[in-house]
Amino acid sequence: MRILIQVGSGIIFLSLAFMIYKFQVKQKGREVQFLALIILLAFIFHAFKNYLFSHYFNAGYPLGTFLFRPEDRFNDFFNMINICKDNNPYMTDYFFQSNYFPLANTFFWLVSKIGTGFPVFLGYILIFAFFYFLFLRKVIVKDQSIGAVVSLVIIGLLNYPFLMNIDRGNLEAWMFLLLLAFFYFYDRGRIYAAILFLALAIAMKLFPAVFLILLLKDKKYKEILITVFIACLVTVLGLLSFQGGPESNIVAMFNSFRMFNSLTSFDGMQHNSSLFGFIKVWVLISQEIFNGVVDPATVKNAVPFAPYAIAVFVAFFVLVIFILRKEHERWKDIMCLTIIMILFPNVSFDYRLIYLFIPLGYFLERNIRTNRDNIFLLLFSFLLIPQSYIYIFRDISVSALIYPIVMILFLALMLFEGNSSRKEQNPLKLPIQPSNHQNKKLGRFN
Amino acid sequence: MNITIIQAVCFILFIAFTLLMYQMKIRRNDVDNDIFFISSIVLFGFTIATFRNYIFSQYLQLTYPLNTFLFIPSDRFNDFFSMLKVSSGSNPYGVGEKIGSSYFPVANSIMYIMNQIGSKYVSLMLLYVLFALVMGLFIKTMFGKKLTFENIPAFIIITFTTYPFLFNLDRGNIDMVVFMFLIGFFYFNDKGKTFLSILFLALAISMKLYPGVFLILLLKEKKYKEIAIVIVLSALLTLGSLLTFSGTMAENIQALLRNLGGFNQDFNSFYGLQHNLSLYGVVRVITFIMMTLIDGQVTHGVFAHAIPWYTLAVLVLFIAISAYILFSEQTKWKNITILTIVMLIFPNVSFDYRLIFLFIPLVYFFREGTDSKYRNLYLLLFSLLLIPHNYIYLYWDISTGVLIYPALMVMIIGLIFFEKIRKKSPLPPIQTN
Repeated sequence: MRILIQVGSGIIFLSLAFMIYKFQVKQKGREVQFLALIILLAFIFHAFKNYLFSHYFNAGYPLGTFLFRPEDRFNDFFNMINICKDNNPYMTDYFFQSNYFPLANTFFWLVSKIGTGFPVFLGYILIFAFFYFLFLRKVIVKDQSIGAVVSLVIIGLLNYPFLMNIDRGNLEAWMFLLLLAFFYFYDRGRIYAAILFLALAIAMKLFPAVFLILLLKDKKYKEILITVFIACLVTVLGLLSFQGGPESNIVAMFNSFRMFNSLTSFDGMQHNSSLFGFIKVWVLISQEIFNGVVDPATVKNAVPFAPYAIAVFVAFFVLVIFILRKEHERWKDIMCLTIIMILFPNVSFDYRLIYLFIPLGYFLERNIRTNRDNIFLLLFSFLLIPQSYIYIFRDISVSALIYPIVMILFLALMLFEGNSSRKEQNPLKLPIQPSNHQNKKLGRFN
Repeated sequence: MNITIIQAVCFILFIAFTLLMYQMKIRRNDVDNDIFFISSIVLFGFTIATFRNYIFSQYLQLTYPLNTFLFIPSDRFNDFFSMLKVSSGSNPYGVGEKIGSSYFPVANSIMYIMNQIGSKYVSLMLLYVLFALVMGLFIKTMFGKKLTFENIPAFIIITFTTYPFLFNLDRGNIDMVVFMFLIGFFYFNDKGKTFLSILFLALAISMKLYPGVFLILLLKEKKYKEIAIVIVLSALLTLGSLLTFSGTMAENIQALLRNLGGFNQDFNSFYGLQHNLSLYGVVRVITFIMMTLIDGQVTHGVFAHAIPWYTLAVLVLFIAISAYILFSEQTKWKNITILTIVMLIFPNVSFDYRLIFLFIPLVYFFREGTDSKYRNLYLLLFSLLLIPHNYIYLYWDISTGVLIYPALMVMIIGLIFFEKIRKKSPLPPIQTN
């Protein structure tokens, strides 16, 4: 019965989504409404399904929710507060130690000075939500109609990454704000303000460093150096401020990183959009099909990290070349880098999907329109909704396959379009000289 | 985390959003925004209620009533399943037994037919599909000729996320069938197909009696013959159904009256007050609050002799309202609204699934109410009737909804009267010599 409901709701939702997509293809130019419609439908479907499971069938986690374990709510925030409150994040007595970069720990240490209770968390979330909605309002609400407000409420409040961020209270919510600030100032030509925010983001979780490629593309070499310098400086300062001295903290920090990576057998495969997770889920599925039993140890060791890291590095290199030499539309550059940031790390939980709102914003503001925009829009919408139709093993759902696939499709389509549009636009094979100034103009939030 | 704080925050958030939307609506006073206004209120009401229920049920592990705005989850679909069970044989009223159905004969016959499908879940699903289809088609008429891409989200919100719709799915009450029959009545009546329309009205009346209030509309149009036909048809359908039941007709009627008496007795105390929108419920809740405040305790059984008095009072009110409709009010949507509200708030027990009937006046309001000076206010009141209002629980699962829904409906009737009075007393003409 449960499987029937899961599969049934998935099929109904997907058929409706494709029906709406066909409608959108015919009508064109209703992008915000299309997004709102898909997000609304998905939310209603999942709310109904979760209600059926949790209230009618008394099923617990994971069937009762599309978010993480309810009893673990907000704990990405509270754990970090408890870890960092004594300014000893890597050697604390708490049941686990921080695996964040020094600046992130310093940030939580500062927050813990305000308080460690729920009101502080509420403030933390409200500040995030305030800037998030400010950004979405700019992108979504084009007129003062009530219909636009309805779309804003749907897209802003009912999307999966936003709800996941609230549920976990992860630092990514604020990282998203830092990146928003980077793009905001960058588009306005306030380059030093922009790189300050980028440096802070990099110093907190490293992976936003992918956006240095944008600076590289704009030939802002000095600014790249400054960003790296600031990121290093705040990291060193953070390390120096911790109890126990810098050397022991560095050793403890790398131990924590190692421990985090070694933990990821089944833990970390749920609500995950990483490519590494995707591969491990396939191993898991094949074990289930061929052996009938899933062995955690085999799943864990089935995909060695080193070859994966090398493969990812090569893929990253290819994509960077693509961005630097071939691609011209700004939203695509940003989308490409955002996908890299979400897809390539070995663990990448679903709250990171919130970053997709940045390229989405640029996409909605773009000036150049192509025939494939509707497909891009469909893929965007699929990345903003819960996809936990069927659970493969424990709380690992098909979403661990769907998100990476959608992102890979996105990348492939962009690569394909990058090449084909180039051919179409440049039949005489004249050299195209991208203008940095023009690039900025095409995609900025006015 | 304090439950009351969460409830209060949700309530404040909802009120703030509603006021903001209302202000926007007043500022941009065009009819095109009406549908978006309603959908925005319904969407926000649904979202806030869903979030609150998620916090209570998943984060705080609280059970009924805090974990849902619907009825007890373990009792899901039981209005349907219980009736299906009772009507499975040919003795729905329990002749020779102690208990049985308290529905009218045609309702039992319809449940008997549904029973023939075999599986109770298949019957329920068929009913759901039919109900959703009729509901969707009916609501689509609010959107003019064609659904456009811009208003599909509004259509989905208004059709599938309203409290009355969800409550009907949760209970599976036969009022869904009555609602579909009434839509049939109005649809064919508008098309001028009188016989078909009165057939549907007769079916509705013979199922639950209270749709009989719509005979006032026929009376206003001086369709005396049609009224007679409706009454005869209803009587025939009822008799026809009674004849199919085991036992004599007299025995079945006696058993039905016994069951109805038992039903009313059941709802004489504070039982049945939850998810209720009857005026009698308001009286009972206010009495309950006063007892708690003054005596510090609740005495059950105080309503033992109240029903006849309440019935008399609503009968007088109904006569007065009917006279108003017959002799004073000329606007169709207002007449339908008044009669629908009468149908909802006057019975001594009227559960929230009946709010579904408000879609009928709402659709007529969209078609005809464009000239009203108070259009925005009507819109607001209608929208508020389509969302859950269980902000605070007064006692066990009796929430503020019990007071809010009747109050909103009385306000709509009051506004209709007020508008009439304002129209009747124009400024004195300026004398020019």
